[in-house]
Amino acid sequence: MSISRQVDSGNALVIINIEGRFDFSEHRPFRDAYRDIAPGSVRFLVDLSRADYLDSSALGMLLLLREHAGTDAGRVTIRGCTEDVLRILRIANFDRLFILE
Amino acid sequence: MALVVDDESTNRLVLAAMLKREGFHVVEARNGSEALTRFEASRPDIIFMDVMMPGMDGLEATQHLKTLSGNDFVPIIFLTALHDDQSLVRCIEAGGDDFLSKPFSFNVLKSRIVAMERVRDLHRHIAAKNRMLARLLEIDRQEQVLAERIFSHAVNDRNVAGENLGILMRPAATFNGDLLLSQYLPDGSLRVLLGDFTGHGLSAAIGALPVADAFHSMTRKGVADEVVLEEINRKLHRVLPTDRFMCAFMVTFPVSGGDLRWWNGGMPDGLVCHAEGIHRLASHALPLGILPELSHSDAPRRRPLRMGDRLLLITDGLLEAQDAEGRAFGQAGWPELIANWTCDRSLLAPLLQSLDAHCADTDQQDDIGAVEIPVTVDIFGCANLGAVPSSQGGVACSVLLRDGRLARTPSMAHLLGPLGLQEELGAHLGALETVLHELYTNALEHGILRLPSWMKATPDGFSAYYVERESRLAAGPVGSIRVDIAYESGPPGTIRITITDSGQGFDFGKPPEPLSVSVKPWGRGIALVRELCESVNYCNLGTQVEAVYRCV
Repeated sequence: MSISRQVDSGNALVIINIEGRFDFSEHRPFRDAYRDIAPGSVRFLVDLSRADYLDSSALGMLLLLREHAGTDAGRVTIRGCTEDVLRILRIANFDRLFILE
Repeated sequence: MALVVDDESTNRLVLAAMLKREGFHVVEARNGSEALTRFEASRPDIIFMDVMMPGMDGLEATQHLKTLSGNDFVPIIFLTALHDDQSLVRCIEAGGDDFLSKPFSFNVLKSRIVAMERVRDLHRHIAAKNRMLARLLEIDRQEQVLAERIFSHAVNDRNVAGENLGILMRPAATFNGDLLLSQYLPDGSLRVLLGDFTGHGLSAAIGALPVADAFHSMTRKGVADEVVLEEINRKLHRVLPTDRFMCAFMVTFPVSGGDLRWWNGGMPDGLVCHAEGIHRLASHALPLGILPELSHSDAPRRRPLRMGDRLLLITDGLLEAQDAEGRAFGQAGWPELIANWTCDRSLLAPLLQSLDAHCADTDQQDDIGAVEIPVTVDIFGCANLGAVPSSQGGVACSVLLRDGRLARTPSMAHLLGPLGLQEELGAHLGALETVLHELYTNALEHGILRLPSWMKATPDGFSAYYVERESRLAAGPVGSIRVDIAYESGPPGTIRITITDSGQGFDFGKPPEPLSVSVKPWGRGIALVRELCESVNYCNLGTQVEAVYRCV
């Protein structure tokens, strides 16, 4: 499994780590990584530093997470994007919906 | 029912007795060929087979029986006195399912039967599931074909200019997540949209219908780029789940030769090939269907364009198409292809060639879409409505009524509906209805029907006028009236109504009497319009009138 998460309850932050290809096959594990957390209660940090690919369904999954986290700015941060992943996020203009670190 | 095949009658007798104790009905055969006949006649559930028999032996008979039983599983158990490995292997190779070494006890026979029945039940269970699956797959296939037909009718058949555009559309599934739409504006300008839904197949294409509807109907009415995009975005946001959206590239080529208007939400760079090289049109907006409203920075952009330039729009499926080694086309043949592209030749043929060579011996993973638009006069539609007034930052629509349709005065609400202005202009709608109605009536009665307004001077004449109007309309009037509505947002918002008729004109030089002092029963219409509007001007010998209304 290439998706894992850490809960930093002190900072009300959930870190989701994604490794390898981030595509539709990760739909369930990705959702499982946040759905037991009350909507809108914490901030999320999606760490893509070990993800080497991201497709449009992954963009969709990020939108679902954004909805779960609460759509106001700053609730979901995406960290450690590789050049390729960053390019896809930029083309989709997702820098307006998420904080890209 | 069990079939016992053995040339020794004692053996048959003993086995039959055992099987009857187990509740089997028993059929017997003395050799292989008899076994085949008995099998055909009685269709047993299990077969016990001796190996060595005169005539057809057990091995050969088993091969035939397995062919005869087809998809049904009828277990064949060899009863053999042979103990060497080779013989046992041959039994299984011939199609036997198990073997029993003679002599055997009743309990061993019983347990082998139980085991075989277990295998048979499993086999039947799977076969039944397979039949059901095959049926479902067939239903699914038929539905896909049907949906594909409906989809291509609703989406593709309404496209225009197809023969002048270079189009490459390769769906990964029957249903295409890539979408290509093209339509003319009323003045003949061409608008093209290339969209790419997230995911593939039916779920991806389901949003295509509302998109195509909005695109075609609004474009035909001359609705501005940003308004069309707003509408598509709103529709998709409403119908699609959160994780689904549509990346899109929309371009409008003005027939008048002005700037190209383009909008890129999440698609790969559009490429303009011009005399000096290649210019990229990069994604500047969010894809459609993500947020309820488009933001200001998502507005369409402009770029000067010349005749002879070429524009290429692509979906990411093209750049990501992999070769046998997993290398993406965008990193393989693509860069060189673009580097060698000049605007005197089409890119599509070399692109196809290069892509086919790249993708040889691979399965297509994603929809692939590309459209090349050469900027020539051929891509434009006929401007059957003449020039539409320019509407920088505004919206415009036009309607042209001819002959038999002239009698039906268009309503303002009807014209404003597609522009989405009804609410915004709510308080002014009544006044605008009046302006339109009066101007249209004038154009119809005096321009087309050539009725003289002095007829209305007396009560008799007044009714005679309307009787005459009816009869001239009934006789089938010939001509056309065109109505242009242009809205420029304010404050205060301005509505420009232009009405052009195909009649002979009239003497509009005579100043009309002000409404307040007029006592004549005719000539009130235009006076009323002048009261309501900021300005009313006739031109072209009175065949055209322009009224400007301010929403104050």
